Formats: sequence, structure tokens, C-alpha cells
Amino acid sequence: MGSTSTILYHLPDEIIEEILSNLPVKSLLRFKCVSKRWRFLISSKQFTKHHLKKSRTNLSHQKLIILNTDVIDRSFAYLIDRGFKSCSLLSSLDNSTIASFDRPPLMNHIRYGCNNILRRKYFNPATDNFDVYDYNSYVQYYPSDSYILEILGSCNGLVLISVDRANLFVWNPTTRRAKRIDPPACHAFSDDLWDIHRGAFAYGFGHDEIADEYKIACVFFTYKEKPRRTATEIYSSRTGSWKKIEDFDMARFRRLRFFSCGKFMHGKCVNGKLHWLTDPKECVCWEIVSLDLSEEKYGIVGRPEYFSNHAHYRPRLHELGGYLSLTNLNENYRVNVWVMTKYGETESWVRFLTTNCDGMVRGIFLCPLWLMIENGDIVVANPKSRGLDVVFCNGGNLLHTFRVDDVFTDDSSVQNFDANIYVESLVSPFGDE
Amino acid sequence: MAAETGTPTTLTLKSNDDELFSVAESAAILSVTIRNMVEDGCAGGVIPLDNVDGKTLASVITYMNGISAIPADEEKKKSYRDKFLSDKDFETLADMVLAANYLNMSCLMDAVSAKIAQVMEKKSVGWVRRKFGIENDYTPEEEAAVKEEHKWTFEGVETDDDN
Repeated sequence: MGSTSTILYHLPDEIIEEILSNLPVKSLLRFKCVSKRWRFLISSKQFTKHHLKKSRTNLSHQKLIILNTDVIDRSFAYLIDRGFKSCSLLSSLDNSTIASFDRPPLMNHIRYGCNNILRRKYFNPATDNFDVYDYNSYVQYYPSDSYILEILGSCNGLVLISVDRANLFVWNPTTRRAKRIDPPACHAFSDDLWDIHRGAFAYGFGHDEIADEYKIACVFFTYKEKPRRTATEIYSSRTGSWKKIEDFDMARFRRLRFFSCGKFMHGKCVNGKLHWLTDPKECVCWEIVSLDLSEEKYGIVGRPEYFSNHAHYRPRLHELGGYLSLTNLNENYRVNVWVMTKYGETESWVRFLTTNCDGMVRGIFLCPLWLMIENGDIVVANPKSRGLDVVFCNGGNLLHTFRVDDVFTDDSSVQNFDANIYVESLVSPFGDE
Repeated sequence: MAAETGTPTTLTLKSNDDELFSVAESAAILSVTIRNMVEDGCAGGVIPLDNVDGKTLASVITYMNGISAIPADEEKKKSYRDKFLSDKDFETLADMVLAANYLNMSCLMDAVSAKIAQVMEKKSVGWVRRKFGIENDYTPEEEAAVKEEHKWTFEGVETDDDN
């Protein structure tokens, strides 16, 4: 094979890059050891983008992330978060009964790091390969082994999470890197972050395509205080700091619907914009509010005509395979899944799926996960018996289904279920490295 | 072009080791490189393909004929590609990726790249160096440091099968 090796040695970078762009992140990180040239290539921003673009359409690179929560004291409904579970959407196709879960160890790291910092008051970057330097003493509210985790958004393989609500991390679960984000100034508006009645925070996370930077939006609003106050701040990965932007027009939009069924609704990022619903309780004609991450301005996205003429309950927004999606319950308690097939064009909303009473997809807490717009295949998660049925279908036809057990520890958390998908990517939470 | 006469035009391709192959023009123009030559009127005699050897060219022509016989059905084309590449070893795939690049056949290029990646996925760093003919230019200390940074990615690596 000596002659082949000689030829391969001269494989141009474009071909090497093309081959490598098909590999999962784990293999790529290992192959940084092959040579300095390969390390340079795999670490380059250009390759990261090329790989991301390819991964977006690769079902086996889509991961379902589930927050794994235990109730440890039922009398107080006291929750302890055990971390995150994730599984590839394709693992379901390989094996119809067992979904292989692996728990990204970084959550252990964060927890471990936090506890260590509390005990040791310092952080050892050699043993904990992520960025936690100053952990505050807010943890005094809780026993040291418990914490509240929340997934606030996901974009290009990066996941925005909060630990005990106040501590933000941009985390790449695939490369196991996380960066701690300084809290926004509006955190100081509320003396006690746990006093939900005075004020609360909702987030959104996305990519500003024009400036090529990641942005976090934090929207603060008061609950009971009159007149209501709100503020919007945006964090830029380029500057590493927050700035206040012009707030949404309260008179026009009323109140954003951040809180639903005991859970915050965080912004869904599609087309460089974050999206929330306005509160249907206060405004019969709820609307979809967008926040353009590049222009840093609020706007409105048209909703399907259907909603003007039909009874509907529990409208929810989703990001579905890069498209804006809505779900609602109709008058017969079936779930409609809507997709805006051309962003910004109200006429392009299509009803992709309606759950079928005697058919395969049932349940009112169904959440769409993935969509192949080319052929109409759609993947939905249906919480059932403390687990999830993940269902692949096309129109009314069931293609495939698999079961994920032990997702919920009590029945009440089923209605809070919100599935998050992230794509496996090399994108660094630290920006350019 | 001879499509007007009703008989399919046949092109003659010549590999760099002087083997001659006949192939229907409709199949051959899957290669943008060949299509450009045909459009420029260079296809009258023999088309020399200086960067492709006979063994690889025979394989590429099999692919050209196979895929162009399938009507516009992406699923069927994909399963043909999967089947076509399933029994190819690493060296053949490497020759084919170079040929596909030279002939400018994006569908073959994508399929072969993906297949090579699939073969590489669980392989060791040493396997990749040998197969790609890459010299390790790290000092032992540098290599250990890079390895340490991504230690967990060395779990589940297959035992090398090429020694």
C-alpha cells in the first residue's frame, strides 16, 4: 500500500476537509492527535462551520436532551436535578426498543466544580475543563448536593443552561466545554431571585448571522408590581458583555407569555430571530413576537389563519429542524403541529400533523422534535407513563417508534415537558480559540 | 450532439495507464469535467483523463452507468450508492475520492467522503496516520498534551485491523 500512501499524502486539504466533515465530533477531537496540520484544520473556524452545515441535515448528529429530575421530598415537592440525559435521534432507528442514553459528564463537572468551590474556594482548571471561577454563595439556600437546572435555549450545538437560575453557562455538550456567563444587570432588580411574584427572567439564545456572534437575550419583567416594568438586555459573545436595548412596546404587545404551566417559555431561535408568544390570557388575539438578534429590535410574525376561526388551547412555540413551529390543542383535544415553511410569510404556515384519537400518536403534551422538510417526515415526542414515546411519522402514517423510559419521576412534570434538540458541533462556547 | 439522430452517443475515455473505455455520453456527463469537454467540442476522439488509473476509471464508469439508469428518485439513488460502495476497501475508496474530485462529480464525491468517514469513525490515530500516509510531527510531549485535552475521545476505539 506504499504507493497509495504516497498519493494520499498529497490529498489536498479540500478533500481531507470534505471527508472529515462527515465525522462525529468525538472522532474529530481524537484525530487532532494525527498531526499538527490535522489539528489546525479541525480547529479552524472554517471547518467548524463546514461541519456544522453538514451535521444540521444528518439525523444521527441530532441529539435529544432531557432534563432528568427527581422528586426527593414529596411533601414539599422538592426537586433535585440529576443532570441531563441525551440520545441520538438516529439511535431510535437502529434499535426500536432500547434508546442508548449517555449522560454528558459535564453536568457532573459543573456540580463537582460548584461543590468544590464551596469547599475549597478555588477551581482547578487542570481537573475541571470548563470555566467556572467565581461561584457565588447563593447555594446557601440549598443543601449542597441539590441544584436547579434549566435549559434556556440551543443553537448550533451550544446549549444555554442555568444552574440555580442565576448562573448562566453556554455549554457544548458534545465537546464538553462550558463557559460561565456573567449575569445581566437586570438580575439586580430583584433582591431575591426566588420571589417569582415580584419579577422574573426569560431568556433566549441564538446566532446573529450578520455579525457572526452568539447572543443571549434576557427579558426581565415584574409580575405583581404596578405599573409593570420590563427590560431587555442582550449579551454578545464578541464583546463578552450585556447591553440594554429598546424594550418591546407594552401597549402593543401586552405581555409576553413567559410562564406557562409552571414553566418559563424561553425564546425559540429561527432565522436569526428569537420568538415568544404574547400572553393569551390578557390578549385573546395572541401573537408571535420576534426579536431580531442582529438589529436588536422586536417585531411580529404572522400566525396561521386557523387561529382566528377555530377554538384552540395551549398554543406553544417550537423550533423544528430550523423552522418556526406552533402546536395547539383543538376543540377535540387533539394536537395540531404547524410549520412556517417560508419564514416571515404568513401564508406559508402548514399543518403537518394532527394527532389521531384512535391512531398511533396520542396525548395532549406532545412536542415536535425534528422535521425533514424535503419529504415531510416528522419526529415527535409524546410523554406517556413517565417516559417518552418518540414517534416518526409522515402525514398520518407511522414510520417508526421507540420508547425512552424513566424521563419523569412524577406525573405532574409531564405537562412541563419541553424537548430540546441540539446538533453535534465543534462550535466553541469561548468563541474563537 | 447526436441525440437528434436517435442513437445514443458513445464517448471513449482513456485512463492514465492507457486503458480505453466506452461509455454512453448521457452517463459520462455526470462528470462536470467531461461535460465541459463535450460542450467545448473536445469529445470527437478520445478523452484523456490523466489523473485516473484504469482500475479506478472502470469502477467510476460502473457507477455512472448504474446511477444514470435510475430515474429521479433520490431514495433509490442513495441505496444504489450505498450498495455500490459497500464492498470497497479503504485504498479503493481513496482512489475514488481523488477521481471524483478530478472528474467533478459531486454526488459521488459526497458519497465516497461519507463512506471513508464511516470507515474511519472508530479507528485509532495510528491507523489514520498509516492509511493517509501522514507523518507524526508532534514531539511526544506535544502529542501527550493534545491527547490529554480530549482524553475521553480515546474510549471505544477499535483495535487496528491493518497490521
